[in-house]
Amino acid sequence: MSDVMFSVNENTFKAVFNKLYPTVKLPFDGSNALGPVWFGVEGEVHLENAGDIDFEDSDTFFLSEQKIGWDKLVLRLGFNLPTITVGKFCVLRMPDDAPILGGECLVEFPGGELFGGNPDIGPIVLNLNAIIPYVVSEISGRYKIGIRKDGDYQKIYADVQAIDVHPISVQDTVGKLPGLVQAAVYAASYQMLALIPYTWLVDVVLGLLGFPTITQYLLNLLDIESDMEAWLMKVLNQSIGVDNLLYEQIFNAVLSKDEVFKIDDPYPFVPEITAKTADYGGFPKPVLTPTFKIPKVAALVENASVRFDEDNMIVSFDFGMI
Amino acid sequence: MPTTLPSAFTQIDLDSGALAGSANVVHRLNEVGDWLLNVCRKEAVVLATIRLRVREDGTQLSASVDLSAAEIAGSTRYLGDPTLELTVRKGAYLRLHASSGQAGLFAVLRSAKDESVVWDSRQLVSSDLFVFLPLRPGHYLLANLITPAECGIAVLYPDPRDSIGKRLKNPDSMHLKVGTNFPVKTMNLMPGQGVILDTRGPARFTFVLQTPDNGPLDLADWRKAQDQKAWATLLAKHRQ
Amino acid sequence: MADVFGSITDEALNRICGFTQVRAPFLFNYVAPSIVDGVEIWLTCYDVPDSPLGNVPKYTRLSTFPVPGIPVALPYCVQIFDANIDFHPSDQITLPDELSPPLKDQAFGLRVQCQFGVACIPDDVAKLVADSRFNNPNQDERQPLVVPAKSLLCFVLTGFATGRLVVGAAPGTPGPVEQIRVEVDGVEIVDITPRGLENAVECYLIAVLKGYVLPTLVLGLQSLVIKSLGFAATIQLTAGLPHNPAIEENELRVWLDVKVT
Repeated sequence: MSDVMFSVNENTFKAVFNKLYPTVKLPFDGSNALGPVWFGVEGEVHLENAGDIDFEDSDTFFLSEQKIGWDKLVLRLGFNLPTITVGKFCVLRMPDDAPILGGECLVEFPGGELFGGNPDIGPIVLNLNAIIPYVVSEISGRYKIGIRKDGDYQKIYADVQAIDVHPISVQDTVGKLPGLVQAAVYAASYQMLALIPYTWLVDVVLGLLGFPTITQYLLNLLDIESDMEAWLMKVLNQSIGVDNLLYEQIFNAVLSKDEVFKIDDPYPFVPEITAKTADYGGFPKPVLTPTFKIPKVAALVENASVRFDEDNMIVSFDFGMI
Repeated sequence: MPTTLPSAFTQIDLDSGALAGSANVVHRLNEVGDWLLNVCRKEAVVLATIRLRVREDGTQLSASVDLSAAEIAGSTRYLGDPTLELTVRKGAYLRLHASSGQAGLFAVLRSAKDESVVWDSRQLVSSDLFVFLPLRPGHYLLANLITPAECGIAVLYPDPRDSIGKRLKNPDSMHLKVGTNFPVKTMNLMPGQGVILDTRGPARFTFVLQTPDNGPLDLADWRKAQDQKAWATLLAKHRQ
Repeated sequence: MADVFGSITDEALNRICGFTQVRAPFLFNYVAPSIVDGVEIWLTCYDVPDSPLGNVPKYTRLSTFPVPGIPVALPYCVQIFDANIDFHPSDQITLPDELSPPLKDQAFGLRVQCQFGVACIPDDVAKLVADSRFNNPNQDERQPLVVPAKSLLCFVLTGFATGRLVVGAAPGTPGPVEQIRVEVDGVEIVDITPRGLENAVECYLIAVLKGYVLPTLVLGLQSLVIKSLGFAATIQLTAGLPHNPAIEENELRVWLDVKVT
């Protein structure tokens, strides 16, 4: 049997583990274009406490429902307006029974092209910081426990093996999101109107597009049909893939975490003390100062091991001679 | 950054003898031979010359010439090089237009042998076509300056309440054979509905805006109400 | 179910003890030095080698003890050269019959072997006292003269003890570890007569055990556990266990409930 053994149960382990998470803010950004709309996101998160820790087989544990706290969420969007061709038609057509090019258009009237240079509208910025409290995201992860010597310690590390970032859920119970989206769409429609200087032309274009107003045209491009929260979640999760962006940031942050526990190695039995010289005798060399330092007495930690056994993390080791 | 609108949307008044905007002239090359096509501005200054070869066995059945390309330095459009040569088949169609610029351009076709004028786009001849695209709603006067003949054209305002939910589809183009007179006295067109005038005699067509139509006065308010309704519907769904 | 558990074997403790003895000899060698010609001489029964850790003192100073009736103080020394602890079941030491072996459940056994050395009172002590008074007239008459001994009379004592750990107050009160008391069931010093002297020495030993050695041990284990975890926490002994701390299976064991702060 080992000289020393101690064990820590799941709850205590979880309490200690949670304290270790760096509270630094993890920034991330990303963007993606889907057809005529492109989305960009700029955010900042930090890790909060783990929901639950389950010790698994001998050396891994599973951490579930660790909350991600949001510090910043800014959505940018823009439109690449699709080209609208007006009045293109065939002026002269080969007769169908012609020996060559039967039925083909010989002379085509090209019409007029609106937004032919693919102008951009945007970027329109939606500052979603107001709804951050309602953005819910969690991760779960699997870690491997191990103990290794590092400097003057035996450190017990939790090495992350895999992390799963759950899709983001927006629960805007207060209803702030529609106002933000509405403002963004208005801003976009102003920009689009700036591209079409004549009111009559706006009406012609709207007639061609089949929408009664520019706002509704843009809402259609954005694919906002009903639930704004569902739309935002789709944008974040599917269009931009925020979970992937978060994954990388979090994985790296977790990788660089400090050790969970550490044991002094060499382990001091008698700590270093400062003592009065007069209280001691038999110094190999005379001490001329009124106080002196007695060095610590320590032994090496050997055969250190850590493992899980049902609901406990068990650390055991032996003492060796220096 | 708003881009410049193509001249098809900005040039309202059109003239077959001074091409700009959406005005196009189509002329058929029925004689085999070598020809020079001069690209000219109003003051008859020759800006460029294109060598045209019409051959019995030519492969091209049509050619398109952008007269304004000659005017814009460094243009990369088709026929940007003023000394380009074209070889077409006998009977091929030549389409002339000016995609940019406001100064009306015209073309003169000369014989390559003796430079005698064979055709001048300022005076269309029988079988020539004048093609254009009315866009801006309003009342126009379509006239043939040479005959003279007139026709009143109303480009209707696209009021969405007339056809709510329906797209303003590109309607079929109007194809008119024009002799001494126009076949009709007045005509209604939708914006974006093309017009082809097939002249049977000498012609110089002008299409001039008489009275602009800026749409019903209550249309703007109607659109605002539509937006409010749309947002209200969205928000109502959201709150469910 | 306890949050945290810690245990250490008696064998490990004994190894640590031997280890420490070499490196911190002052913990095992207590000397009241003699004074000869004004110079302190640290008299011992056997030589103590230098600690490999450097300039470490070999001895902890004791005050000389007075002799009743004579105003002199005697140099002496106590040197522990072997100490062993044994947790139930007994496998490290053999208890003497007086302590009713074998070791009981939840009990620990202790065996300490030490050398005592005492200076002899010289014949001319009266002359010495008079001389010193003459040489130092201002010296306080009641301060005894340290006998200028140059050697000690030495003898070996072997002592045994058995005991158990008892928790004083209910768990949950602040500072639970301070509530752990050492109860000494029995002490036996081998080969001392008369009986009265043996009892006196045993009494002294019990005090040392209860006051110093054992609390240090238990405190040490608690700090090993919490310190090793490396975080700030409030701790309590886990309630509801038959014995906590426990001495069983050759180990000292403690269960703690922890609140991470």
